[in-house]
Amino acid sequence: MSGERKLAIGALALRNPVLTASGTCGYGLELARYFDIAMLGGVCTKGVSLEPRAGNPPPRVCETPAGMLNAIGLANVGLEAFLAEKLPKLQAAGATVFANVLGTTPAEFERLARKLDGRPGLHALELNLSCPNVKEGGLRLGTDPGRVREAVAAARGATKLPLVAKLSPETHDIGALARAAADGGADAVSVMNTIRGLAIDVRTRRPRLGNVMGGLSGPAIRPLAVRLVFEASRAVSIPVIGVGGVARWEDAVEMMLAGATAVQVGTASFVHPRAPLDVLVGLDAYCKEQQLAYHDLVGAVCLD
Amino acid sequence: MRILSLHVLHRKALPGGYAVLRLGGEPLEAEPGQFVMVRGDWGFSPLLPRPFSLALVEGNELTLLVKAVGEGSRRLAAVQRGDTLTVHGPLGTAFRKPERGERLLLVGGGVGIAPLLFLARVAKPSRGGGLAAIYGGRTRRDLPMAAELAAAAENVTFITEDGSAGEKGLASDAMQALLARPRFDRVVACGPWSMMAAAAKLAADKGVPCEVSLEAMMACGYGICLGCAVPTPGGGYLYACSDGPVVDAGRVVWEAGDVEPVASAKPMREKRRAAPRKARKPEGTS
Ligand SMILES: Cc1cc2nc3c(=O)[nH]c(=O)nc-3n(C[C@H](O)[C@H](O)[C@H](O)COP(=O)(O)OP(=O)(O)OC[C@H]3O[C@@H](n4cnc5c(N)ncnc54)[C@H](O)[C@@H]3O)c2cc1C
Ligand code: FES
Repeated sequence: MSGERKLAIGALALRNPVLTASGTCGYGLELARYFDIAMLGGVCTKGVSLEPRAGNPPPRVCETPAGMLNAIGLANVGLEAFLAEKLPKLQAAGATVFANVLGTTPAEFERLARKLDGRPGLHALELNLSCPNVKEGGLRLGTDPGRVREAVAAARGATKLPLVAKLSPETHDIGALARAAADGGADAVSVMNTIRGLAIDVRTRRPRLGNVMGGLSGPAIRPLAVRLVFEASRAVSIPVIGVGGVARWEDAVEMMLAGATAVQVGTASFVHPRAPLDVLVGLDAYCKEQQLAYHDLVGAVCLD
Repeated sequence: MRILSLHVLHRKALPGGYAVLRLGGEPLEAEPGQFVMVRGDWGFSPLLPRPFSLALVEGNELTLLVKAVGEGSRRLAAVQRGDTLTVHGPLGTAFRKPERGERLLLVGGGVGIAPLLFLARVAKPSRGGGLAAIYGGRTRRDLPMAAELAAAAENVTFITEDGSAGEKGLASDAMQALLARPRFDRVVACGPWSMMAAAAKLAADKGVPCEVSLEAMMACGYGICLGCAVPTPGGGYLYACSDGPVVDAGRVVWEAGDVEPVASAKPMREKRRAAPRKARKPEGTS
């Protein structure tokens, strides 16, 4: 397919612009039972922290109009188990692996980056600067440009791996967050993480999630994500990865027209395990029909 | 597991908002206890597929028992013959295969009967042991597929809370009586959380192994969202869709309460942690 002209995150050339979104594909291996995950541009793992985390009390998910709320609480196997059990299998599957890492302080991001640097089978890091579901760090760190720059710089000093900074939508100035990430040394930014929401059961008068609030995802948030991608891509020269409600190939094209160099498919994988592949196949067919390369779409929205 | 596009071959509506669906078109190999994620072609709302236990799989046909409780299940319960559904499965763990001579006691409540019926139907020919069942519900309308169960198990006790069918009481009352007499080698329970909790406790008290089929809110059904957490002793969680739904009852912290909010959830007052502290007195609740 026509993607030759530079589709890259830092030094990492991507096969194509369709990735999975962190937290919606497990460690990637679960999807490998449904299709060849090496066909994707990348697989972005569940957020990995230094220590294992059990996660939040249930219920952790509930459906909302054209979307869902989740408060998983970053349940994950921890860095050691990720390296010992998950990464070798991802490598064997031939996947382009983006390890999503979760820290609450710049020092933690530095340690995570140091420990992951140079690991065979690992291609890039995505710094989760914006998880809405943990009390410490997470959102607070991710909405302050100064802290974002610090956290990215801390990781940058500890690894040569391409770095992607995943940004929070809970800001009035996504451009400032994107610039801060770029200043800190990020090779790309992912826009956006989930945005906090709340759903209440009117019969029981209880929140529908054990954690009360959760992150909203799915088609419902796509217009917000497209707008933020549009703004972020005009603020920085590094690539923007569009995330938020991409479920069909048309959504990927829309994200790219808004300014995304690549996209991540998230909640759609819950609905259909082959969703990321279907998005890719549709995107390729569209590009072929229109005789376009991927990069021709990036930021190509007509504004006049 | 696979993603199938199946046709509705037959739909039987039952009183109380229940429907028995027979789907077919492609072969599926599954064992009792496993479930499928089901969705119609209805755009982005409802978005997520919904989990349903397999009530029977025979060749190219599978049977589901659906209770309409919300938007997704209401749509499924109302499908028409010829409609197409996307069915992802089989998913999750199955009940242990009954051993020769093993005596099973099945304890089901409401739609929880579905996987037990599947078990009873395939266990019967190879049995040699025994297959008793207790089937409980609120009223006689809440015992869907009772006739099918009566045909598949040799000794069925029906019990309703209002006494409108069978004995009057809870499934756990009937279980207490049955466990007092002959020895069973295993209890297999599926139904509301409170019923399974009671079954787990009674079985443990008698030293009888107990398997349960868990329900939890699920987004994906195949282990990628980590949404279906159920508390385990020791402070962690198991995942109902991939570690379960069938697990040994001892792996669950039953006191953690209703992780399954379902229709059985009672109106809550302020005592719950997350209840709004300054909320006005509820009007018209209880
Ligand atoms: C492994 C498994 C097997 C199941 N088997 C059957 C079956 O054979 N027959 C059957 O009728 N139902 C079964 N269920 C429950 C069924 O999945 C839910 O009733 C259904 O998902 C509700 O969707 P809804 O859109 O109608 O309800 P919603 O509008 O989403 O919610 C309505 C009510 O149902 C509750 N609910 C939603 N999803 C679930 C869920 N996954 N589990 C429990 N409660 C839920 C909600 O909290 C709410 O109280 C099973 C659930 C699981 C996890
Ligand atoms: S429902 Fe997604 S992990 Fe169990």
